[in-house]
Amino acid sequence: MTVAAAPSPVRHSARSWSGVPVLLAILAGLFLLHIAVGAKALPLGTVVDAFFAFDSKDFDHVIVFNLRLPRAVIAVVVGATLALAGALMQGVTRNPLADPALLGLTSGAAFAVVIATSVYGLATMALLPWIAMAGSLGAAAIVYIIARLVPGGATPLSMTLAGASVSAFLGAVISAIHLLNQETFENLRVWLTGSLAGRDVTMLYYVGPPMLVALLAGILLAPRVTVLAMGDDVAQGLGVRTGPLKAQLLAVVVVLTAGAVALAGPLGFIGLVIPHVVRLYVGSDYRWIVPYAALAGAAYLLGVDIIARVAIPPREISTGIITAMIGAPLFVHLVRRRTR
Amino acid sequence: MFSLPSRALTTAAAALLATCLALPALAQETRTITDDAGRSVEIPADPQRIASLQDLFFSVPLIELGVTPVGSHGRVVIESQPFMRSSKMLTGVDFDTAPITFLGTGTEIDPEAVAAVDPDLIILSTNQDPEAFASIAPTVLLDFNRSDKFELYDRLAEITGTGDALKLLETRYAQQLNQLKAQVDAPNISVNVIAAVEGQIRSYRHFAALGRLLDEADFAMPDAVKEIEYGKFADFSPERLPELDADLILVTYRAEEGETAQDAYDLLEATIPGYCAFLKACQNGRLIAVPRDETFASSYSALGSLAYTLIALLAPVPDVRPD
Repeated sequence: MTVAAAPSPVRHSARSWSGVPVLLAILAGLFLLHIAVGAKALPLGTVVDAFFAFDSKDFDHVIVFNLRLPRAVIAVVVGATLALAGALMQGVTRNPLADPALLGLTSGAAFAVVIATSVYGLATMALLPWIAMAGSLGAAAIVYIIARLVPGGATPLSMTLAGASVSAFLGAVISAIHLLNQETFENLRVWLTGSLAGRDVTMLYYVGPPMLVALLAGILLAPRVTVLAMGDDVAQGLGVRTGPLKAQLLAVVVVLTAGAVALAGPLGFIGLVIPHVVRLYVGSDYRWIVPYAALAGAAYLLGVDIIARVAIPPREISTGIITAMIGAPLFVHLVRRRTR
Repeated sequence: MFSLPSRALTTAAAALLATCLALPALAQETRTITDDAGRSVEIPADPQRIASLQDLFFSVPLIELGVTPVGSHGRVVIESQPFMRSSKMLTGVDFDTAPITFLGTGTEIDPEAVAAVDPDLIILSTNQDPEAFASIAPTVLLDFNRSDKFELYDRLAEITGTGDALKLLETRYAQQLNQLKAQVDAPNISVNVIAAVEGQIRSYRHFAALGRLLDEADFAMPDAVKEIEYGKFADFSPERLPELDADLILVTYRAEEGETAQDAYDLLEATIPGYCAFLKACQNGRLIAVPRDETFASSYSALGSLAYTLIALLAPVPDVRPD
């Protein structure tokens, strides 16, 4: 696994630049499509009017501005942050299977939110991101401690196995809470599958600022992740203080993951698949992988959510279900392609 | 000639007496019914100790028919004792107010818990395995997912021999329904029953008690609701909100879990900011919250209270005009 994630020499520099406007154009196109289509067919003129001549008494304008636009914004934020978090984790751990879900961060955040809301009856949204972050951080600490305690220390393999174990354990505890608290758990049923439907956009006020800081920090730290991905010895030989760098990157990943979970529930596969897709195009230079993953992750989740909203009208499918249904075969395809 | 020891004689006499005492039980009359799975089941003619493996659709109707089960399926929340859904609100009967043993939650009820209450009949639902309980007592399987939940009363009355009690309940309901029809011009009033659920608007068509009442009083409904199968519900995108408008909109909340009418309105507002401006029912003060416990039970008690709720909401009021 270490070999698969190790960087090849930096390449594709000119090609990498050229991809940014293309990705931005795709993202913008999907964003507009996300706003233009939905359960109710709206003329394009109405969609445009909603932006430039908003009338709060016109329900079509309300659909565009109050229902579709916030959902599209949340899709962009969640998709970008999960993909970026996955890319950073794969670089830090030198493990191509690393992603926030596999290393227990998503489960930790979900577990903390479930405990806070269904057991302690938390109703204050402002606290939710902090609780999710505490859950992510706690899960990360447990995974790291377990991996350190096994013979050989915290290798990519031991981290992956510890992460899978912690995720499975927390999933089992969530199931147990479900059995003990069926009635109040009903409110979390869809959220736990990962969903963008009916999400409270005001949550962005609370999670947005720390996520933005973490996003910028991730982009700034990306060049050093390229060095780190060559191995601790090489990185230290090049003057990188690996311990503090890893701690900073872990903090970035925890904030991004917890914010995404607080916004949309535990969405899987984005942090795992998108960095691999990006790597096919830009190689192993994290200066490019990180921003590309953010853009591609945002575009991917927008596209997936469009499918979730329009696939079987009038109903909607939970976004997390579509994410997994597309992400799983895509990941298998990527693995087959790499092994050829 | 030989003589038996006196101890042997005493033992034989005791055994004979015990056998005689047990005979009425062994000879309990039975009858054969066909359950909803098409199984032919021999059940006691007059079952006295029924274990009900579904609370809302079996236990509550049984209690309204005058039969208290010895054990029942129930629900749990961490901070409270087990309870039967909606039962205390509709009948006053629950695990803490009647000698009913809590048997478990969900579909995974432990056969040992059922055996412990020594039932003479077990009523279970289609998502449970009758063979798992067959060695304990006769098992009757009823489908609670049927579109007309009140058909379960017919089945339960047949099984428990409480047809007379059911007739009384039906008679009372018929009077309440007649009052509603006499005072409200139902065919010219459209009604929709909704709830905000996970970012969607759930609409119910002729679902359970409220559904039966609306159907039999002949209320109209929005065209979008006609798309829903009878006795079922469907989730609509919030974008279709205006299609769900009606003269009267009843929005449900879970009173048993401590929710209030305000919670129902808040959920709608969170799902569709400013929803009230786009529903004429809301603009006219005709968007009313009602407890989900009563609307979604199959209960004659619920039918009565809902009938009077609709009369209070929709019957003509004095034409009071300022001088």
